[in-house]
Amino acid sequence: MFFAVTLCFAWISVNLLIIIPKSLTKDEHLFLFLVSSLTIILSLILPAKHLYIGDPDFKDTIQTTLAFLTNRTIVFPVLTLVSVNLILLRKFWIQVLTGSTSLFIFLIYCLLEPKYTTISSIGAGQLLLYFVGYYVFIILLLRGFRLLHPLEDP
Amino acid sequence: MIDNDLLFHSNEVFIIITGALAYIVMLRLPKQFTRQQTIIMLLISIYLSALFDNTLCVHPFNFYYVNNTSIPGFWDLMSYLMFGPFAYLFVYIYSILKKNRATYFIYIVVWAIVALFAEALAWHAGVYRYQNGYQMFFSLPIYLLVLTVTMIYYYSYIHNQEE
Repeated sequence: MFFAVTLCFAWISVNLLIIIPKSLTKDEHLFLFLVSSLTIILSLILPAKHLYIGDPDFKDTIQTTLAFLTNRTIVFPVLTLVSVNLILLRKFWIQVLTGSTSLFIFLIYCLLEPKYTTISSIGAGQLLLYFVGYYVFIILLLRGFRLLHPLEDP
Repeated sequence: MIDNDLLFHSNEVFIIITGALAYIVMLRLPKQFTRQQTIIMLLISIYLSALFDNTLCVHPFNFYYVNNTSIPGFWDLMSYLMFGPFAYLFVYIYSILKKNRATYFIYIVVWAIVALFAEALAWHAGVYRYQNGYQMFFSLPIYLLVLTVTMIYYYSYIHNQEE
């Protein structure tokens, strides 16, 4: 059942990205998708170690794995793109609203269904710290990527 | 005892040598793309290798594991970085080729066969350890998919801007 819900979340996040006003270029979208996916894949290795070692005590199904993979590969990176696009719109109230809403959605999603998002449950404080650090890291990388633009000499 | 020690280190030696050679070749080639495009091409390779390794290695698939343990560690990260320049080289060579309607098809097939051969070398070096009936041939569709995705990137992001 939860895999179906995850697929719906994936559809909603992709379509949200399509309809929102964009503040990033095509190259910046691709760059952010790649770096956010890589960051998420690498940071989920330890919480999801039961999946890697095939722990017999850990009762999971193919549905758990597929929901986890969909969240890790599509939902989280695409939601990151949506929130970064909105945060960079330069309207203060939109930035504050988007930043806090994104954190709230990520936290609620990971806390309510850890089995399908982070596999093992993580405390709310640690998750909050992770997501704040994650967004700061992603925005710093984006700034670095933008700095490359005027230096171009192909 | 000596053989076991060598086997233990051969995967790391393979990753260092292949990665270093690939990055040297990439940096020695005349510049063809912008810095942003170069960074994106490196990231495409790193992302795709990390994605497939962290998808096919997890339960219930567990088709193989990379290097010495089933949980990715430092050398797995190095192996993802090792793949970095290959998307760049793939796009670089393609962009300077004289093309006709079948070029992209033949080009992808040739690269997929070369990738399979490289995987065989990596398997011998102990980088990949197959399990649950996985065979090297199963990687062929993955290479075809990955190379096609990279080709789509070239046509939508680089070729379009050149025109």
